[in-house]
Amino acid sequence: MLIIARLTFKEALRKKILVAAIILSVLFLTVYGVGLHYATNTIEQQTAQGVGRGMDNGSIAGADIMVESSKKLLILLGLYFSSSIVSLLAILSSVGVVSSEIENGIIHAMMAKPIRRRDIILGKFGGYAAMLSVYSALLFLSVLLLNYFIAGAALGNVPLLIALFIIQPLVFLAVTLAGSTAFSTLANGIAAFTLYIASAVGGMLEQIGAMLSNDMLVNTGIVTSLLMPADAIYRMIASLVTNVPGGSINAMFFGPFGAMSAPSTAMVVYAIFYLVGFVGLASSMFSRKDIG
Amino acid sequence: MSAISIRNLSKSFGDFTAVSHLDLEIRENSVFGFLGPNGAGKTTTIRMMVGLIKPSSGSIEIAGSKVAFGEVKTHSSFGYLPEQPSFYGWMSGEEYLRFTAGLFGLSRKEEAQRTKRLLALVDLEAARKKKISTYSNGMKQRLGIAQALMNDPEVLILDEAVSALDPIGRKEVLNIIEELRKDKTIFMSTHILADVDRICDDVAIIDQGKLVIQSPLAVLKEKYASPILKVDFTRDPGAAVPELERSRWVKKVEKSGNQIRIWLQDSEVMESNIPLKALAGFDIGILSYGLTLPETEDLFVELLEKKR
Repeated sequence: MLIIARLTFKEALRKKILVAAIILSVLFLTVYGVGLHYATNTIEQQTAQGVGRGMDNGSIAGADIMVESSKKLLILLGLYFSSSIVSLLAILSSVGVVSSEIENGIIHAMMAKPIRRRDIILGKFGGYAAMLSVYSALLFLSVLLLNYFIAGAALGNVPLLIALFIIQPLVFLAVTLAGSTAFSTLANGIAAFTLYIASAVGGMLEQIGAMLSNDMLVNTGIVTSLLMPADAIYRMIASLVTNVPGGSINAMFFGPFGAMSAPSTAMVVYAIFYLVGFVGLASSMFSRKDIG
Repeated sequence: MSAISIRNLSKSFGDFTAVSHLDLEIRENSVFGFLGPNGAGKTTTIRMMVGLIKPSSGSIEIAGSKVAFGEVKTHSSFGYLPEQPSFYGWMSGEEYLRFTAGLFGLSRKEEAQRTKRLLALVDLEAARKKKISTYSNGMKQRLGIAQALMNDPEVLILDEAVSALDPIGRKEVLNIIEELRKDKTIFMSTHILADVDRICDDVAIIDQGKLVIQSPLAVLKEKYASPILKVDFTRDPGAAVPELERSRWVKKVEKSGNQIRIWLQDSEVMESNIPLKALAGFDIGILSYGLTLPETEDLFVELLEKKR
């Protein structure tokens, strides 16, 4: 299994999609950093003007909350789009992990060697998971570092946040891997991308539903989260990041990037079972598949 | 003892039966040619043999071990070269062989030794560090043979090993097979029948998933092939062909330029001098005239025509 994981990791590093993701991430971080710089300046200037106009203590405390919340919103903005980047990277890099190797025949000679099909699947998952974990952690830290150096905003619980952040692409990886054992590369790509969109839209609807107190919208989001829990994991991260004094007012302030309707810890456990379940499904389907 | 034993092997994909009740016995240390037209079921059979496809029914034994779909125990007893083998283009030939060695769990020392030996065998030493994406088709095929030999298997299974190659590439690969036949059983599917003539000891022909015949090649030629009379004329013998085709001693006539090939009903007709008399009657100069041995291609066509 390790030999397949090593091979897959090397293979993943050589894919053009990773190069494209790195270039786009650098571009994203640059734009985000510039935006962060100007947004922070504006917030600080407006706060200073407010204090200069002689706000009372209560108003100053309120202004501090607004500054803090604005900074958290900027972090969330960065994390939301970073989540999208790593999720799409997971889908696009692994969409043909098995199917394309069957289609081009690379896997045929390998499968006639004394290596179990289950080990091929686990190795492929391991290789991509390693690449995506490193990439996701670096992107997450980059967003945090930009916020720290530009906006002076720091977060606690960083290891937990990174771990949660990494779960998102791994969930997509597991689903895409399973799809790749059953469908052609193109069909799998379309299915996985549709699932990604459905997850993002479902997450947004749930937040809007929570803001409007509309149970139907909230339930739609919950069902979508059960079908694809990646967005729920993001909401968990958002809920931890936005944990500032002010309660629901602040939660509402973050809009669709926040977590008005925060998922429970059970959702993280569900996401992990979901991930393991799809890897198991991939292994089971591949073990029974005729390789033609 | 049989190196490969296939009994009552069948495979269906939905309503389509790709292989039907196939029985084959392949002798140890023989080169076995597995022949059939496109879509006959050759590749499906091979993929069942190497564990890529699950048989619908029947059994396969290779080197004394029963092949069970999903079990990898028997995978150490054979080497397999897929049809048009593909590789990770970013790897070098040496890296790929080392990766293959890793799949067999060889030690670093064994890995290095076998890689070196196999690169020499397939004449890829000079290109060992080059990326596979820069290899020619012939080089890729030779690398494919090298990876199939990594475990020094008793049985080598080659699926259309030379079909996609140019004449030089074909010759190189056939030379390697000639070298390997000394101590291995080689099972090769091909549709290049001249290669079968050159290297195969035994052949089997399948058509529409069913076995047409299995036999030592020499026996097959002797038993089934009609003698062929090859005649070269000084000019186009077109007008003679319909008349020859009507003759009772002629089975079939093929014309190519100034040459015709006449399939005789039997070889005894030659002793009666009937063919020579008939040919002389056409008033076309004859440059050469002689009985030829049937080639496997002729035999192949004849057997398939007979079966259909």
